[in-house]
Amino acid sequence: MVDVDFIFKIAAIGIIVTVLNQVLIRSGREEQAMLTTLAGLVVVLLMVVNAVAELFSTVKGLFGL
Amino acid sequence: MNGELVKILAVCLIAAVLAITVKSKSAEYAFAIAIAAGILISLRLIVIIMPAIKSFDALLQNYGVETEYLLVAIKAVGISYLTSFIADSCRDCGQISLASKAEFAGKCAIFILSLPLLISVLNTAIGFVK
Repeated sequence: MVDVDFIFKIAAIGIIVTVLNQVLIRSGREEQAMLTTLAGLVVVLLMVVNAVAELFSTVKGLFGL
Repeated sequence: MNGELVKILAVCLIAAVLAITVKSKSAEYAFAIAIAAGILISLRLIVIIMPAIKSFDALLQNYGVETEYLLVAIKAVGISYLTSFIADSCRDCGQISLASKAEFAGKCAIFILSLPLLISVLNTAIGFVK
């Protein structure tokens, strides 16, 4: 179910990943920083794709497409 | 409906602020936040408007209007809504050409959808002429 918390979750993941990115870069582990960024992106995109799928199926059901 | 409207507008504003906050660090999350807020608001609006559509449908069926053609119009509304949602999201993150492609795909879908209707209208018109 898509809730208001959904938006906050995505924003929180984005901020946490950005902070981790900076911390890892400053401490010299650049590959891990890049991996963290990519992992955060993948997680967020998966969540968004799930939500888009739910929207599409709801609209299809409503309009009989 | 007014309470719901205020809630939806508030969610829009909050999502816009969050998107701006993360945009400077990474534009991808701003995109995700915008899409998520759009989906949230769309689902909420669908839930709100569904009873109204159902009652309108029942009213039209009572009057015995030709529902086959009305169905085409309603499906076209659905297709156009989904297409404009995706196209606007593409435009949001700067992919204007992809947005145009998505809109073109929607136009094709609506054209194919309304083809039987067009054919029957043409047949009727030709029948009048002859």
